[in-house]
Order: sequence, then C-alpha cells, then structure tokens
Amino acid sequence: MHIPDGYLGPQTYGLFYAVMTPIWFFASRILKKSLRAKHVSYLALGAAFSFVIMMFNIPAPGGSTGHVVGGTLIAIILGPWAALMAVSIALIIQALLFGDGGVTAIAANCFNMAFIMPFSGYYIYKMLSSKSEVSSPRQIFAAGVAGYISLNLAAFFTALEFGIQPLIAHTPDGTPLYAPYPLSVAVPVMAFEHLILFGFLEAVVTGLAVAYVSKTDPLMLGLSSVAPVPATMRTTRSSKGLWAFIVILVILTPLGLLASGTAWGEWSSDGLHSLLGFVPEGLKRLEGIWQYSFMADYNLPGWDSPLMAAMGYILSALVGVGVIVFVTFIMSRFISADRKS
Amino acid sequence: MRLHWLVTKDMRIPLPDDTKKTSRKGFLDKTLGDVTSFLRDSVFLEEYAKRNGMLQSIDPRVKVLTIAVLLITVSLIRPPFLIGVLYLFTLILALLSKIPLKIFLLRVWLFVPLFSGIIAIPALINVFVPGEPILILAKFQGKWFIGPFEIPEVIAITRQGSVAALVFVLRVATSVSLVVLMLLTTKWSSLLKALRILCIPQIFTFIISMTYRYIHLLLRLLEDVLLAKKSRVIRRSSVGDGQRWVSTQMGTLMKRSLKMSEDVYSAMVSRGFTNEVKIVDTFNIKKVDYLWSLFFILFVSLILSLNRVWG
Repeated sequence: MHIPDGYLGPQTYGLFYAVMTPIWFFASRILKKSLRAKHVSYLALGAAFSFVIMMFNIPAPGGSTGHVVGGTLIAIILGPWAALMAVSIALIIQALLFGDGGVTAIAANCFNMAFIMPFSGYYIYKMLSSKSEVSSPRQIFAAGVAGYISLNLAAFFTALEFGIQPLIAHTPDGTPLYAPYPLSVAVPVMAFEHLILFGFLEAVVTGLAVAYVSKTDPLMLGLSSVAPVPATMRTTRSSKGLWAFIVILVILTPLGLLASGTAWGEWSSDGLHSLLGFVPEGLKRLEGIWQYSFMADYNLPGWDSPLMAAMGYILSALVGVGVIVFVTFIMSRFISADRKS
Repeated sequence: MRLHWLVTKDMRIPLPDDTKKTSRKGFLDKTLGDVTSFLRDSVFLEEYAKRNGMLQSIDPRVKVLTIAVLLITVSLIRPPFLIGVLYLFTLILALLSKIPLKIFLLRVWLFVPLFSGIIAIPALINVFVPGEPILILAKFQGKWFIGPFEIPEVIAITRQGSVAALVFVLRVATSVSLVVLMLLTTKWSSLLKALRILCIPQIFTFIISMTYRYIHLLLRLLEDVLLAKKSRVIRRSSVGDGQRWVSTQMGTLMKRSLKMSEDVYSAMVSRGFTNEVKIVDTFNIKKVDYLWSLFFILFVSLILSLNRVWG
C-alpha cells in the first residue's frame, strides 16, 4: 500500500503535505500534553515497534505470506493519536532510509496508513466492543473487524489517490502523466485484493494479538484510554469528527472538476440567462462589484494549462480552508481567553 | 591463525537459506531474511557515505534541499525526453559520487520493474487508457463486458498509452534514483540533522533518530526469537498456527517495547533530560556547496523553462 514516488502528481502530494502538517502538529501537542516528557521515549518505542510489525511475514492460505500495516493494533493499545505519530515515524524511516514508499508521497502514505487506518480502526473497535469484558470474545471480534474495515478504508483511499491522477493530470490529447489507471480500474483492483486477502490477514493478526495481550496483560488495553485525549483537551474530541470530514472534503475537491455544469445556485448571469431566458436586473447590477479577487475562478492568473488549472483549483481550496481555519482559530483564542478572565 | 574474516571488507551477514532459492520459503525464513537484510543494509549504506565522492562532499543540508527540489522538478515536468535527461543526470551524479553503477542500477531497477514496470504494461492497451491505436492486437464483434469493465471492439496499443507508460516508468525510476542517491551518499545521522532545513522540528528528528536505534534493538530481539523458533521446528506448521504464533510474538514485542519505553524514560530523566532537545550542528558551508548550488539553480531553471516550451 506504500505509494512510491512518481505515482502522484504535485497537486495531489502537495495537498497531502498541507493536510498532514496540521494533523501532525495537533497530534504532537496532544501527546505532549498527556504524556509530558515521557512522550519522547513512548513515541520512539511505539514507532520502532510499528516498523517491526510491518516487517513480519504472516502466513496466508496456499503457502504464501503477506505483510500487515498494524495501524489498528497500535491504535487499540497506544490510542489513535500516539498511533498516528508512531506509524508516521515508521513510514518516514521506511521512505527515507529504504526507499520503501516515495519521499514525495510520505504525507499521502501517512494519511492512508497513519491517519485513516488507526482512527477508523480505533473507533470501530470502541463502538463494537463497548462495555464488554477486556478479554471477552466480543473484544477480540471487535478488534478483528476493526482491522479488516480500517485496512480496506486505507486501501480505498490509496486507490482514490492514484485513481484521480489521470483525471486531474493529463496532456491535451489524453495521455495520463502519473499513475495511468482511472478510478474505475484502480478502486476495484485495490479493493479486490484487500477485501479478499490482506483484510483477513490484518483482521486475524489484530484479533489474535489483542486476544494475547488481553489475556497476559489486560492493563495494556486500558492504556489507550489514558493516552489519547487528556481532560484539558476535551474540546478537540468533539471536533475530531468534523476535522476528519473537512479533510475528506478537501481531498474530494478535484472531483468537482469532473462534474459538468456549475453548482446549483452558483450561476453567473450568463449561465442564468441560458437557464431562465432572462437575467434579474438586480443581479446584473450586483455582479461585477467584486473585481479584486486574487484567485478568480479558483485559479491563479497565468496558470492555464489543465495541469496548472487543477493545481490552482486545489490550491484555492486549500487557501480557502486555511483562511477559514485560521480565522476560526484566532476567534476561538479570543473567546476562550475571555472565558478565563 | 589470522582471523581473516575480521579484516576483510566484506561484512555481509549471510542470509539464511541463501543457497537454495526455493520459491516457497516459510514465513519464518522470510521474516528472518528481511530482518538480516535490514541489519546488513544499515551497515552497508554507510559504506558509500564515507567515500570521498562529489555528493558526499556537499553539506547535507544543501544536499537534502537540492534533492527535494529535484524530486519536485521530476514530478512537474512532462516531456518524456526531459525526464530522461534528469535520469541521465542521476547516473552522472552516481558516477561522480563513486557509487558503483552496478549497485546503483540494481537498487533502482530491482524495485522499478518489479512494481511499476509490471503495472505500466496494461496501460499500453486501449482497455485502460483510451487513445489513438498504433498497433491493433485483436478485433471482436461489437463491445462486450467483463463485470463493470467495457472491452472495446478493437483492442490496440495506443499512442497515449505507450507515452503514459514510458513517462510513468521514467518518472518513477528517476525519483527512486534521486532518493537512492541521497541515501547512499549521506550518513543517517547527518541526514536527520539536515532535515531541519525543511522546517522539521528538532524534537521530531530526535524521536526519529531514537526510533531508528530502537528498531535495531527490537529487530535483534526478534531475530533471536525467530532463530529459536526455527531451531525447534521440524515440520511446516499450519497456517492458523503460524498466524497465532506471529500475533503472539507481536503482542510480546509490544509489551517489551512499552516496558522498555518506561525504562528509557527513567534513564533519560536520571541523566538530566528536561524535554528540551539540543542537537549540536557541525555543518559548515564550503566553496563546493556554493558551486553546487549555483550549478543546481541554473540546471533546474533550464529544465523547467524547457518544460514550459515543450510541455
């Protein structure tokens, strides 16, 4: 599932760096708060462990073997935030030292395997195992299902990432510039092998490892309830889902390029004219008042080739989201400062 | 008796089962092989970094920055010819850095054809990448479907498909070459320090370097466990047993590493660790760095402007 260099165009991998940087920042702040100075050794060992997990060959039916990512297993034991950092560091070392996974694609790989996988896995596990005994069959079952679904989610996102490449980056005559397969090929192929084989390996290993840990050292499973979110950071917990949603939306922005026509309700007066047959007078006057936008039509001046246009589009989305987040952040600063005083 | 093997340069750790290359190695042997090749690699990578070649003499910060810019350049340019030029450039750099071409090519192309080369082949035909046919392979009576896939009336190799496959393989190979060049010519410790120039916080690189050290420790533990198991096994275990054993080992390793993280923390605190990381920098920018930077800026701008003209 490690995406190598050259599979993703700059607009895609750039986007993932932009998305992952605040997530990493956020995660390290949370861990620093909850673990204090201990977070250094905790993360280092967690990451080393995560690296070693990926090195195991797991026997599969038919005499073959496969690897597991282990994102969900680590999330169940260390908590999702620590898992995010641990798996990220393991992936960075793999890319920088062994060329396993691309350097430009580090952020995209971390998004799939260190963000989507541990978080989805952790919450599926929590949901399914709610209030059951620590070493009950239900816990083990929950861990297995979480491993299966989270790996498939990660694979799905990976397929999306290189499946959109031919759509957003091709020459005028339709030659794809990066990974050449469209979504209709990339998604089924990735989904197939992960639904049929790797998902089950991940499920078996996650389930069995959790079973082993809960039998021999049940306290370890309790650890994750300490690690993820300290009381002082409660606010972040409620907004976690929202953040994930925003991230997914930003990623999907290039899909908007595929749709023909304009969004409902966002017609220009020309578009409106062709729809209605006339243009309301007031609208005609209002339109054209704002002439000064930096990124008109979600694009940068001079970036007219399809590649550059797509890049400009995503850049616009990022700038937009960034500005909104920044403003909200500043506002929340003031609001919480008020409360304190 | 002279201990000849102690003074010879060849420090390769023998791979288990290296002589008989059976395709059906068990999971024990495979994992053991992965572990030993990791340990071997991490010794051997430093070997080239010590040579006095061109890239080795450049300040790691400058090198990291330039390789990063080159990687982005490779991902930006479109004409296959230009990507080819960049690929040749990596070969020249490898030669100037005294990396044996054979080893360099092997490291890159062992990965590229295995993965991306095979992936690129189906892209040639119009089933996957539609375009103008240049070589017709088969003709059918009308369209037909395999599941959701539409198989067109004429199956042909397309111009778009072949260009796409060529660009794809070249791009992957060039990117991989650049990363391999960086790996082979930079010591891991200075690479980590140099990452700071990309605005990566010190604490982060510190954790990465600690992780790297403990990967070695955990792998040595794992190696012992695997060898112990291997020496006690006389027949192939069932898939289920194997999976249970592997999962149990993962659990044990996790317990060990969590325990170890506590110990390491206590050890750090008792030695005065205060959650502040200060890394001593011993880098200094020399004349060769300025020369390289100047050449580099000219080279990349030339490539990018040619890309503008032809792209």
